[in-house]
Amino acid sequence: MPIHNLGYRPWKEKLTRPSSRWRNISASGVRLAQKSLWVKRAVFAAWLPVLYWGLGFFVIGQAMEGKLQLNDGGNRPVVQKAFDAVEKQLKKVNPMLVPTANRLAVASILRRQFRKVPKVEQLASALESGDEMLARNRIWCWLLMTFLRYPQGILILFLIGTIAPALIARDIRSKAFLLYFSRPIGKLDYLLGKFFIPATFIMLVTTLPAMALYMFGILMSPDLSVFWSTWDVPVRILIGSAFLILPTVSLALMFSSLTQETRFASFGWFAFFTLGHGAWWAIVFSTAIKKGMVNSQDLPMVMEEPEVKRWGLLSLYNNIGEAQSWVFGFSSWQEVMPSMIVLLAITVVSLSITYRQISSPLRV
Amino acid sequence: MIHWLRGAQATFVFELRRALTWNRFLVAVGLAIFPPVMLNVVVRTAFVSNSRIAADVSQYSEFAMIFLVALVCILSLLLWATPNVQSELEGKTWNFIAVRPGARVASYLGKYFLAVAISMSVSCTALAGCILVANSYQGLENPLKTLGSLAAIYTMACVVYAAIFSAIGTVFIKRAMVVAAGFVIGVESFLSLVPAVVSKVTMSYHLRSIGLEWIGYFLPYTTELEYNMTFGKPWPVWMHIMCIAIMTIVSLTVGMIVITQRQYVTSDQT
Amino acid sequence: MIELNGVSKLYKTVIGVNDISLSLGTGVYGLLGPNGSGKTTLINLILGQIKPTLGTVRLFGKNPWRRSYLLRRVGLCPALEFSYPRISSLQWVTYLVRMHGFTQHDAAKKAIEALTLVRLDHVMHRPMTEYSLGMRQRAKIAQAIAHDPELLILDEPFNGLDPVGRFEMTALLKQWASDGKSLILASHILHEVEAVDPSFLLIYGGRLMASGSPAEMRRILANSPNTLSIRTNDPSRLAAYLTKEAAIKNLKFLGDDTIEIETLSASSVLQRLPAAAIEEGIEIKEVITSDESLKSLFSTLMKIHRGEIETRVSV
Repeated sequence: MPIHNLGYRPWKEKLTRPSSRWRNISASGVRLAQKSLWVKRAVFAAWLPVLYWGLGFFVIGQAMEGKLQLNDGGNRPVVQKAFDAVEKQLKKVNPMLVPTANRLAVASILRRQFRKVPKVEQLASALESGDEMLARNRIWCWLLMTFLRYPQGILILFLIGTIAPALIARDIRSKAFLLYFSRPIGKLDYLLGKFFIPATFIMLVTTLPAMALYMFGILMSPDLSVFWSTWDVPVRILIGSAFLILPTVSLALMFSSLTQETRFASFGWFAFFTLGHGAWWAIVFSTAIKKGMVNSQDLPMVMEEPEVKRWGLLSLYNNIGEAQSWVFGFSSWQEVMPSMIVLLAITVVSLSITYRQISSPLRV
Repeated sequence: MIHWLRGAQATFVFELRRALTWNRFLVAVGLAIFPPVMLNVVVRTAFVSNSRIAADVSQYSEFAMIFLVALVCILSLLLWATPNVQSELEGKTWNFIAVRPGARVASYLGKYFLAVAISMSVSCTALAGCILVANSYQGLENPLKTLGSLAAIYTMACVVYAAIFSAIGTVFIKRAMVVAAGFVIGVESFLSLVPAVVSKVTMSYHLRSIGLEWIGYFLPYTTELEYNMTFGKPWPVWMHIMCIAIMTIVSLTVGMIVITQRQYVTSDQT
Repeated sequence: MIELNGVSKLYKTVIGVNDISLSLGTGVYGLLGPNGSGKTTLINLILGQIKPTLGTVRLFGKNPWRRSYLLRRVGLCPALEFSYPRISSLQWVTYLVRMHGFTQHDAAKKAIEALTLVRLDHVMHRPMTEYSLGMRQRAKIAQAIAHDPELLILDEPFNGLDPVGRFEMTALLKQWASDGKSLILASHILHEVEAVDPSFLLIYGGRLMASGSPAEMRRILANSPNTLSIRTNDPSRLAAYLTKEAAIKNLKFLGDDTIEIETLSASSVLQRLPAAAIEEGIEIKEVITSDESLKSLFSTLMKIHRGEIETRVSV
């Protein structure tokens, strides 16, 4: 009987593509991060604003449905009757949401209730214009822009602060570099792999819910032709998410690569965000003082002043907001170019420093 | 108790020695000069020769000073106070401390005192810089009194927030900084501005009230009358100080109880 | 000194230690077990760092949980690798001694004495990040002995030490024991622990499998399955002789002059070798036993506990 050789046998089949290496690093990092109860809670909580925004999609969408004539005697169209029923239900939830189905009234409500939100004037104008396709596109873009900017933009501050600081710092401390780089894994593979760990979670709480909102908007529309006036929205969501992910994750990874202790990486992340945004707020107030506009009604207008916007470059949060405003078509390229340059600089410098850090020789 | 304090002193000296590096010194310097630099920019942007606006600038520069120094004070405390247990567990040095008699509490107190000392230094340095800047523009009425009052308020802020953050650090080991940041934003920032009883539970309310008594009205929006109508008249200063002291003692006690009761295990052992 | 009664510790669903009862007086003990067997958990229970899920623990007659003053009499050298950037071993050991309540001056003096004892006096002012693995290990031992405890617990103390270092460490521990102090030495390498001549505590899978004197352990080892390599001038005759006379499970010829024997009882083979040499005139040049002595020891113990091997088991 032949004796089988059960010793070491080299792999003779095909190896997977090189891209599988960074994907494996990401996948294992994501699996590790999602074991945390806090991360699970944060991801769950990130979907709660979807309900509120979904309502906004529904309500404003209904306002678009030719509800120009009200109280026409007893001869209301069927849609109007249906909308009245919905309006009655929604009034119980929040009367301010649906006081009227008239687009003009909705526009004025937007101006009044959301005056602090950037670009609301453009939105209200689009609504008043009577061009339904334009108005729908603008409304959806505006809703998604505010969704990405406000609840999710603040949530990712904490999400990245939870996940990212340990990614490279822990590898430096435990000398896990040796485990990675004694295999055919390049530094770029390592960097990409680590990059996509927080990026995955950010996409889970921004891109995915935003796409879900878009789909919800399509489903709540009268017919599929709505897609043709809003086909660009998913593309904008993807690009807007990219503007959210690239500079934030790069920065967080840079801080993680600069230290062995995760607390310093966390501190760097929070400090960068806080000091920049705090400085901007200080400028906002000083300009408001100068113009005698120190009250909560006028502050949003002060924020749009050119000198304030110049200082807004200090705030990473504002820069991302400007970029997203351009992505969703509410600002021109000239207006947002300085912010884009800042974001590009942050991304390039952060990634360069991170790459340099992981290329440094290690003492065992 | 004396044993704890002696151990705390040893921890203070040891951790201070660890903290005295060029990198950390630069971070502290950066935090300390940020408020005066920003205040300089702010006041230059707002400054006009018109005497009516100058009065607003004077009021606003006080608010800006307080706001900017508060930022760096909180950031400094986040760095030094929250990771008291996490840094030892991560560095796998927890066991060396925990097997000493009374060392859990001594280490906790020592790190607390260090956090207070460093944050106080950063805050007071920043304040001094801000006073110099503000005084150079419009000549403050009594710069030394303002500096003294604000320094005392920030000292109290460092003492109480360091205690709260340290307690958070014993409970939430892995996410201490994130939870503490969430606490500052959610509770101390938003809740303290709610015109209800709940605002009086926050330390921000009490510190603000002491500031209103000692340096006068400094908030840039609403008048003093409107503010008092919304939040009620401030209590006597000693009552606010007592609330702060009680919160400090309670937080430190909670932290000490948690650190002695909890079974901290380094990851190798599970 | 140390007493455990039906102690179990669960980390959620993972069993750390399982129903351990033991009573240790003053003396030297070797806590033997493979990685993950529960040695560190047992040590943490004894020191009151963790609470038992079931059972009671007593250290110097008292429950160590929440009685940290008992730790004044204990020194621990944990197995963990640590790092304190920019801190010298003198500063570190002095700090830790101060945590016992000594003044700065006394703590520094004790730290210097301890560091001298472990031969780190010439580098004690250098940052520990510049130390080799062995030097960091010695610094850990210095902090464990500096405050002159009654009981010294060392978890894998020989990690990272070169042969000279191991020799010096063994001498230090023997001296420690001869001064009438107690020592618990936890390791997964039998011969390291054997060198200080302790009583053994064998732990495996969270259970205390056996305990006893060195002679008792050697008896188990001698009667446990082992692999022997014997170099001889006549392997086939020796193989035939041993097959008849000794309990052999498997036999292999390696080259022209060596046989490898797998036996259920190493002692039965070894006892036959002199007879083979005298009666059969076979020259025995070399006998090598496998280094798997601890593995075979635990394997035997597991078989005994499962009832696969009949022997006297004390309850």
